[in-house]
Amino acid sequence: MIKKAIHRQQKIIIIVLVLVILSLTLAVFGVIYSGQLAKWGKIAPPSGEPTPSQEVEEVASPSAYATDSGLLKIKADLKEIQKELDETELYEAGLLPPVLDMEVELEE
Amino acid sequence: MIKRLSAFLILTISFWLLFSSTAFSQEFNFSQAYEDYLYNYNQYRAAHTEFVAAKQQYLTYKTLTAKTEALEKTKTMLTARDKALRTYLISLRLKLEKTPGVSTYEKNIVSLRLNNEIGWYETHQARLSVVGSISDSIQISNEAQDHHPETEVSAYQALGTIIAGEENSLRDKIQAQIDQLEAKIAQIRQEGKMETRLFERWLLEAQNRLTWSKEKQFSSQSLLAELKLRERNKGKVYNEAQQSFNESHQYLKEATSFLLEIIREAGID
Repeated sequence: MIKKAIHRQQKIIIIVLVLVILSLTLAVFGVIYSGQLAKWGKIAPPSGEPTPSQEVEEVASPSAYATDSGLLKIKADLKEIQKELDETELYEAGLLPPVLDMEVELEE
Repeated sequence: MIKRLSAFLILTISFWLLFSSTAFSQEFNFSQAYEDYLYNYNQYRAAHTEFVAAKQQYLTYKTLTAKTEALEKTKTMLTARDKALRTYLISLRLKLEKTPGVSTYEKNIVSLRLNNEIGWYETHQARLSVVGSISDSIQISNEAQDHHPETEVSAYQALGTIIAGEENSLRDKIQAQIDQLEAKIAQIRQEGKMETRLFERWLLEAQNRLTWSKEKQFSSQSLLAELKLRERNKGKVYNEAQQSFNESHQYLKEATSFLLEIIREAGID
């Protein structure tokens, strides 16, 4: 009778121990991986603000003047001027006065 | 009949002569003059190398042969130097002639100065052909040395005129676009389909850039106009003027970008 009681007590202790170890292990894992998981975005910290599910790109609609022939002509002319401005050689390096020996001496 | 035929022939020949001479004068353009200058400059460099070697020989051995050789090489080098300068000035003058944005009055004044320089080196070169001694050749060389600062001043001022002309031409083109865009914005405002106050402000900004560009260009030209014969480092003054030219050019670029921005915005609702 006493032997049976002792055996039951041992079983309970073992079960309690296993439960304690399991919960400790889970707690340790939780501490270690909680930061990592948040980083991966699997655990999103609650911000309290609603976030849109998808970003909606704003598309600009053309105005009544988008195809205006007058404006398009000015634009084309300006592009030409812009090209000319980029290509203009302002220094004229090739036309700088030539380097010459002007001090000619032949006597000691 | 024979009279008519001969008259026709004379007319045809006259026309042919007239057009062929025009074609010839057109053929000698800036590109050819520049090629000519580069060729003569190379000839000078080769002649100068030979002159230095002959001078060394003469100063070392003092023989009559070395002296004769030195005199010949000096004359060749000095002739090549005059030719290089003359062809350089011709190419500069032709570049000026084809540059837009330079007033006829200014073109005439600068061309006249360059022509005087060209004439000076032509006369100088002719005098070299009759030189018979080393001391004579050195004396003639010294004349060119004394005259050279004047040539440099004329060259740098001509370069400044060329760059200013190019800037003037570009500025005029941008101004024409500003005027057109101003009229267009006025039309948009009248139609009332779009707010135009922002465009008007940007247009004013572009106009300001043109004014600032002109101011920078004037300061460059003033620097070059005040270039003194005695100034030892004329290239340094030219570089300083160049800085202002660059800033002037930058303002033109900004003005163009502003105008394009207005057109882009006007196309968006």
